[in-house]
Amino acid sequence: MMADLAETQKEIAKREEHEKHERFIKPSFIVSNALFLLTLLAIYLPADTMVEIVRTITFGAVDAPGGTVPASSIEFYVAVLISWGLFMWRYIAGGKKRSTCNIASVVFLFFLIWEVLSTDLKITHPVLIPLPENVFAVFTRIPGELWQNVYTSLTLLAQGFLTSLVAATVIGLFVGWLPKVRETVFPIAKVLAPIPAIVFTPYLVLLLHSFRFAAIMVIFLGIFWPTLMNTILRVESLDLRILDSAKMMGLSTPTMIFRVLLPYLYPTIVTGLKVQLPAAMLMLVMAEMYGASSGMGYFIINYTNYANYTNVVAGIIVVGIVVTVLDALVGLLIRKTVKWSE
Amino acid sequence: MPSIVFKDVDYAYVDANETFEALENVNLEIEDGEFLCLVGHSGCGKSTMLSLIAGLEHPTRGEVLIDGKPITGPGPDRSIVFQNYSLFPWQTAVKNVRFAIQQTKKGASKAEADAKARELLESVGVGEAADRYPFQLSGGMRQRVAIARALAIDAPTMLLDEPFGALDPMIRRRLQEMLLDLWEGSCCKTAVFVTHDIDEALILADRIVFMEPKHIIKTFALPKDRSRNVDDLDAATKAIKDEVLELFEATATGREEEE
Repeated sequence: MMADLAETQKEIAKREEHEKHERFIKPSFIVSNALFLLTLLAIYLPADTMVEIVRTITFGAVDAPGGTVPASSIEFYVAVLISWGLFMWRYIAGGKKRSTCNIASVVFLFFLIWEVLSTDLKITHPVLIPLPENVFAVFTRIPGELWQNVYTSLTLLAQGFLTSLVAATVIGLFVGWLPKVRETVFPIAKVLAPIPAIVFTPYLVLLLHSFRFAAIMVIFLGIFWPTLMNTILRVESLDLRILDSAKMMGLSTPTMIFRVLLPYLYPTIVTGLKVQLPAAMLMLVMAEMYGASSGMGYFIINYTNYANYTNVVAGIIVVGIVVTVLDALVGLLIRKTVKWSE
Repeated sequence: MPSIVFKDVDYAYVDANETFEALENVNLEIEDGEFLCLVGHSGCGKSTMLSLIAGLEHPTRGEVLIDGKPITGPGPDRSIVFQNYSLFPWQTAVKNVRFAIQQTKKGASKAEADAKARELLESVGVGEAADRYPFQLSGGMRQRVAIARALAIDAPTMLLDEPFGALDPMIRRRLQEMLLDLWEGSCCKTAVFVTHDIDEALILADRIVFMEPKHIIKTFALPKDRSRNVDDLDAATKAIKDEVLELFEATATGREEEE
């Protein structure tokens, strides 16, 4: 009897092990890894070999012209390996395994096609489509310049964003609290909120003489109205019984604000960041394309003007990374600090 | 000595430019340490009475006195329990109670307040849920926490606005018993309880005040030493129940005719 039981348990354990195994290696997982290996192979193979292979397959239909050869492939290897590392980490630690695989497949497929068409077969435009090797080499060639521009952009972003967030929250609290003021301010906010703040940029640059100030102003305008409206609506929707309970404790005004209203508003504020931070970044980069002398938007527009598309593509990738990192940080902040719901 | 007095109280509120008369010339004296139930159909003004005692609303005429002094606003000498959701959703159960202690008893250390809060939660039977957020609690548990918070304020007057209205009968019965035990144990707290459930009023009250729209029609004093079991009422209590039921019936038809 006991032996039977032990046997069954062992079998169950074995089956579970097997299921786990099966669940871990999904078909989409194999596809992404295959694409990853293919990408590495494509980078590794010399251009001539690739051309030979394609000629053989297509019976000489494709005739690749000669072109530039990348100086170094190491950076591209590293980029592909980092992508793979991120993918494996998300796959092992994260929940949505299938979509992780799909995203990774798309990324590796993109790298693969880019590499094959540009470096290997040389059938893309040699100036407009830079070689991936050269694009990723920008990260080691001018890291200081990239970092400097990212830093400038982030400083402006932080300044515009924080002032706007604080102002909108404070004013929103005040306005939401007083029904008479709310009835006046809310319709005004409703009209002003949908105006894309970016349209003010050229005018603000002229008006304020300083690009720094103009950029901060644009971010401020872009974030202020939606945050103000959110805050007003949220304060208005505070359950009267919660408020009455607080009043019955005889709370002082500061306690009411800091221990009741702000904790109540906090989740709205941080979840709002999820939308507003990328929006602010967008406005900033756009603004930097007018009249700035540094920043990521400047970096991109400047090298576009000089037709250095290698740097342009690298700059676009940097902006993508910055936005993704900011988004991940906001996500982390929300997960770690918002523990309640209604 | 009466602790709460309504003196010729009128109350009207304005909604969408229309004035609604909620109370008209109401006079009532609530004794110190009394458990009073306000009973009537919804919209009869019983919750308004409670808001006036709480100081959340102010009478348009007359005055409401507490210990001889007019009520000017809400304050920690009265605690309130609402139907449903009034806990702070951003605080765990124990923090909700602790916050009430710290805000109303200045000088209590955090550790003391925490210990007291846990003790109170234990006494209302939700000790094991102390570190959960309100959204993680059932309706009954939330009301237990709300009662613990009201007790934490340790006010001489406790106001309860249909606190068990949204609960199913079993849990409701259990919480009524618990409230009664706590009230008897506290000794001498004045309790004003709003309900439209006669049985609930019969179990809890020393005195039942029956209201029709805007007015108090009748008050019933219940025997102090009665059995508080609704399934086994003594003759005197039974008679009161029948009379209250008749009043319910009468005011209901009256309302229908009005409409």
